[in-house]
Amino acid sequence: MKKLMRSICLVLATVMLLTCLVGCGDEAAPSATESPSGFATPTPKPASDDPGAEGGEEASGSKIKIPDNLPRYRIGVMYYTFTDKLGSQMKNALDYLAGSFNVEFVYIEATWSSEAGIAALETTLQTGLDGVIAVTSGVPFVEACKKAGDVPCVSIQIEPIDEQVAKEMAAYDNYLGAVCENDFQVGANAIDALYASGVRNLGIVGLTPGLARSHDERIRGVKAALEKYSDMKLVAEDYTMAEYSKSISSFAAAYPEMDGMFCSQGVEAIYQTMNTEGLIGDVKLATVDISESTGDYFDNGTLVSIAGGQYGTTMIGFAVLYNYLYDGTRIIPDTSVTLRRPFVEVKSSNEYEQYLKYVDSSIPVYTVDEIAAMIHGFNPEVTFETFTKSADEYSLADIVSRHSGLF
Amino acid sequence: MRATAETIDIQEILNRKARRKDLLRNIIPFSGLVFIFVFFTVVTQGKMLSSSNLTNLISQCFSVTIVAAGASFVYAHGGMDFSIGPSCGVAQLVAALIITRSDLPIWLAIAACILVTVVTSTMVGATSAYLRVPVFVVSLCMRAICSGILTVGIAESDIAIDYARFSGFNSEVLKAVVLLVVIGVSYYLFEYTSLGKYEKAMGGNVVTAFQAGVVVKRTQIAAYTLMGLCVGIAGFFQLTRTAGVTGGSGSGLEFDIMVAIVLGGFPMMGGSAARLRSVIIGALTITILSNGLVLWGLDYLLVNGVKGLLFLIIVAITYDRTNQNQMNFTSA
Repeated sequence: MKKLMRSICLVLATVMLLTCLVGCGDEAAPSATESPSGFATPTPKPASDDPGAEGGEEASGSKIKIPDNLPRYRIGVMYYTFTDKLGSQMKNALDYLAGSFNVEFVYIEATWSSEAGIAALETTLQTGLDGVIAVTSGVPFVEACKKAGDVPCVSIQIEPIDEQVAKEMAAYDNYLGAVCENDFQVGANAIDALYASGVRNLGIVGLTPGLARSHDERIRGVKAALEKYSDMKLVAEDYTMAEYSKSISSFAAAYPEMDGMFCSQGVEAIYQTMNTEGLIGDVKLATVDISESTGDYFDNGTLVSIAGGQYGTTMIGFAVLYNYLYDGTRIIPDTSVTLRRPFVEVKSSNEYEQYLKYVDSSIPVYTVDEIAAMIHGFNPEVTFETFTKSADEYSLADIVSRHSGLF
Repeated sequence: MRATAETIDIQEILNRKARRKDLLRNIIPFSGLVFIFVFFTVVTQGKMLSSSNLTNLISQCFSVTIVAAGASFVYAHGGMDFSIGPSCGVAQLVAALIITRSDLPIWLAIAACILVTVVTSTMVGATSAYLRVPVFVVSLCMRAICSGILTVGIAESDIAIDYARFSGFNSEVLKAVVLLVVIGVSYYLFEYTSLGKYEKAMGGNVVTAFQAGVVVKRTQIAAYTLMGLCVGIAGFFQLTRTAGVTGGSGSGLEFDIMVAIVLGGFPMMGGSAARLRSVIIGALTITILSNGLVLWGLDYLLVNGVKGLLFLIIVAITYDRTNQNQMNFTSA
């Protein structure tokens, strides 16, 4: 009887597994038209192997034509997780582009462990990728792509550790460069905003150094900006993993003079803790990453600056890669130099409403037409300067002016 | 005379049952590995068996298998260590600092890397043995200490080493050789020397082992030292593979080892049923599982759920229920 029960349990588990698999094997990667994206998905173009085919529709509002018969590309995209706010925005933005550019995106979740990330990348490359966009940087990443058959790759969001590593990476033919947000600048800008709002006793809460280079850069920017203001004092700082709530509670208890805070990541728990600790009205906040409660805290005067819109970098990373895949155009001439882009900074309730409408909405920060206009094969005028100009202009006002007719 | 014949018959039946059980115990752990390998070979339409994937598998299973071989001595006597990952990170930090900030030869960096993990692991074992503090508490403290050191070490910046200079260490052939040597030496020590036998005896019953003449504390510490040695070796190869040290260096290694222990059917409390091959099989299984799920092209949203189901099936196949049956029998 026992053996029978055991066998039944095993069979049931196997059936559960197989049932799962019927619908989720190779077909799990969403096709462009079926994209679960939060962004409206444009009509896909039919697949073809003819990269030079002409005759496509003219992109609305521009003279750029996307050919009808685009070759099919399979691109791997590696990020820590696609289930958090930024990860899902990145995925949605790429899914939005997938149909129009006839691309299948393969999403790879890397962990905080570098070795696990490399292992995941190596294995995904075995499935046959035409290109890789990865939130990682370093020679092993480029080497893994080279080993898999010189697969072209682009780094996003994370810069090479130093110039030496950047040069080593640039020595690889398959490396197309790095496109990153300017985390240092966003940290510095946050301090400027806090100072302008009257903050003089600052607390800093951040991620453990070394876990995410982007967070470390933000903190460096904060520290550098602090040196500008002799009457602004750093009263407390804590970098314990991602335990932001605990840090804020401790600050509230130990530093009643603290009147402003910078958090390297604007998770929801920060707002709740500020509420429970009675800091609303007394402590101003500047942070990065927009979440559900952001609007409320602009309304009650707590937030003075918040930065978001990083997923635009992923779209630009895609454009850099697609340029190479389509007709071999290398956008970044010196790949040891990072193409830096600003964040979208929001400083008031009104701007936050615009952010929701134009950045966190059904149309991403770059439309299909705008990305198509960055592809040399569709628009021969595209150069590196096109990308640097786009980066220099990237802001809330820029997105509003480009997209005001779309809503 | 008749009674003696009956006794002999009963003894013969018991011997036969014991032989059968022993045979099953030898075969069953392999079945989970075989199941997962065949499963992924089928669903990936043979991609699993491609030569490039097989060489990738060597690199991917290297760290966890090496550390699992060392950890088997600790788990055999009922011990554990939560500090493996962070101490591996600190060892990589020290080696990276030697490589980047001094002109000392590479072998010294390797030695320092191994020394760090040997010292931290030995300290965990010794503190637990001599201060009589539960080992999981000591290892949690060591984990915090090592995490702290790693954080301070990279507070200014992650540390990168020259990938090209150490590319030889990323050769799959070298890794395969090191893997075989470590497994071979561990197998000999575990199965054929008094050290391995003492560890298992302590896992079975530490009081009995003590009364039988086992120097319990020394044997316990030796297990941690051996594990530290293996963590150090794995750590240096991890450093050359990732070409740098970050806050995430070494992270998660201890949990991979625990999963390998369970998947391989190695008894969590140690004892005479502990077999080195179980942890090796477990380590290979977890590597093939991670590799296969990615090769298969499964949607990332489903990976954890499917991984859990596969774990359940493998554990159902491989778990050693000998003691459980005895407990059920006793309670009945």
